[in-house]
Amino acid sequence: MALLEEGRRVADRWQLLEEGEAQASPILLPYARFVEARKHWLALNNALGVVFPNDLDPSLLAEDLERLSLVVLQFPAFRDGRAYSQARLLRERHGYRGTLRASGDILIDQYFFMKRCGFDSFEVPDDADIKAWEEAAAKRTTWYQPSGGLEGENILLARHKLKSGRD
Amino acid sequence: MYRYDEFDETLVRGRVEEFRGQVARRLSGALTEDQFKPLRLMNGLYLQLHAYMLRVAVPYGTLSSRQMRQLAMIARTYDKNYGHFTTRQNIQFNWIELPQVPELLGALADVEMHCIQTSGNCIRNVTADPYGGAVAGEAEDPRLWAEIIRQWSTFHPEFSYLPRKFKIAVTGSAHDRAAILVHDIGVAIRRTDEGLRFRIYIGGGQGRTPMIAAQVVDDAREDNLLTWLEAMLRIYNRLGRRDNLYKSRVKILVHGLGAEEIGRQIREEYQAIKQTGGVPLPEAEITRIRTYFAPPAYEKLQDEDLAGAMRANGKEADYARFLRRNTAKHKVAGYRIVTISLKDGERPPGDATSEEMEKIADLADQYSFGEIRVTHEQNLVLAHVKQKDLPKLYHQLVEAGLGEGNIGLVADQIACPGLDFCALANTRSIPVAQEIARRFSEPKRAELIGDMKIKISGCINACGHHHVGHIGILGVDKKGEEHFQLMLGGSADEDAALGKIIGPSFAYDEVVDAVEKVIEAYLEHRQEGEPFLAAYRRLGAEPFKRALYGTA
Repeated sequence: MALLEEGRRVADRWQLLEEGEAQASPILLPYARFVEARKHWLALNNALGVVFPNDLDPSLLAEDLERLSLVVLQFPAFRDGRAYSQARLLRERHGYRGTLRASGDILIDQYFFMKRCGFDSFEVPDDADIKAWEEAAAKRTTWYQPSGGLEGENILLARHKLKSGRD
Repeated sequence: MYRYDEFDETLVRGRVEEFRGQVARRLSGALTEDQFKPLRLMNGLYLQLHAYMLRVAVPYGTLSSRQMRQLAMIARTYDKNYGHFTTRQNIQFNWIELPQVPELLGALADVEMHCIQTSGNCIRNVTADPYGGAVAGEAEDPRLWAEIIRQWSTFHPEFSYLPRKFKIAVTGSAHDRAAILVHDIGVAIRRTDEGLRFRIYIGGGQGRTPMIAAQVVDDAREDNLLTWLEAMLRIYNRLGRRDNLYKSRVKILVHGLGAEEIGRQIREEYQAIKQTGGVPLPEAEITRIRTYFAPPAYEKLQDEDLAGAMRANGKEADYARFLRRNTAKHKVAGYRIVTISLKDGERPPGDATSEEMEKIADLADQYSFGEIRVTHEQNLVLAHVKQKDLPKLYHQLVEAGLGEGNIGLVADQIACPGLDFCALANTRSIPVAQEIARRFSEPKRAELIGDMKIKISGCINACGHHHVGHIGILGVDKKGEEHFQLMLGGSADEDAALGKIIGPSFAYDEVVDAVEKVIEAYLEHRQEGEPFLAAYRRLGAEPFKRALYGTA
């Protein structure tokens, strides 16, 4: 598995913390483990990340988002699109500003949709052609709906030369 | 009708080019079938029994004559010289070969057409009343709202990987010709003193578990429509079942939670989206799209004496029947809405040859401002025909073999492709429909029977809408043989109802006799002028059971 961020392959500084392991920074926890001892984790000085299941309400994280540097959302199968909604909710409703990672069965054709939903970090296959991924997304220069992140090229706004859709 | 601006054009062209590239990579072997499948699944390319089937999007069923001619060319060049108009107002081609797909897509793009989101677990073609913009008493042309919804739903980044497909239909008239109550989302537009208001329903559908949609909101405003839809789709995307293919439509979620609870959740989500600004739909955009649906340049005309013409006998009897059955009142004096029947007992219901498509394009240019509509009952509409042109139009239709005056009568059936084409089918459906049409081809008898909507599905997936037929026919596999269940009393309009199974199934060589027995029982027991559906609701199943099974 390779990590794609800002158009490049990057090293992953996060690793899931195993039981009994020393708490080096940064700490990545499955949500169940995080919530079990929430106060304890939040009180640490380490950078904190949570792997969040795709069948839970993202508002469960709302209070802690300011303290989180990484939230990992899941695509157990490429057809399972629940994390697209979770991503938008985290970004647009709950104001999450840390790194939002897409993990699991991710296709090159979905990269663009994921970016528009607010993901900025992607677990891609080891042999992924990063250049092809970037090109595939770059080809999509225009879209109908506003959504977290890439506001500038929205057709509705461009058509009517609006700053926001509320005009 | 809507015309792409440079934004629509860039978006669609880009995506079409991308899919063409993907097809080319599949052909060269750079993509395996497994890798190609998710790509073609969002682009209307199905692998069927004999060949690829390509489903072309016809937004809210509206076509220009130019587009119709291009579809005719495609049918001639890439198919077996015909196309099939579907129950979602699209057109499909059943005999496509993969190497031809890139060129075919280019030909579609040349006339602003594509196959985007005609398959896959995404929001499909938004359908609307085919009489939109022409019929009297309409709140507004529902097609303009279908266009607004189409743009919002195209390549929606959050809703492209739903639990299952999602179908939206819109009506602007009290009489619902778009079957909105058996759609995942149905939108009904009405006019109030304060302006347009939308009633929005969720959770209708057919298939294995047919359901009538539940009302969520009664009086949504124009600028909030997309926010309501976004709230509904988000609830579905998050909570719809993904563990069981047969329980993954939104109707199952609505049924599971109950209408009250899902309404509450949707309203809560709606309020939350509104708090961060809502889904933008500026007045300027609504106005812009409205201009594309402005009325055509009608002439100032008087109404002709159509009532008199409808009573004619002798030589004019066929024309009189055509007027009675195939034409409807237009909102403008001197005009008439005309339906061309694609049901004649010979052709599979909804099929048209290239020559017929070209002829209809010519007729549209001559008589109806160059515009054609596809209905969900698999017929075609010329919406703005001058009444004084009706005789000429009729004769041209007859010459072209398209003059059957049978709209809404027993021969005007919906039938799915069935076992002849579809890998999912238990039984054939097209030959059953053809035999029924032949059995009742005598025009006087057909009109005596009156309004009769027969709908035939070759399997439980209900693509032929058998749950909402006055007589519904469902093909089942009984110990390896083709058998058919009959159900009575279904209806797809504002008075929606699901048909009830009448009794044990019938074999392939018995089913048309069974349909005839039902109809004879109706004729025997009906009151003066009472249509089948009303008679069934008054009489109940007993007289029909007796006629079919002989039980007292």
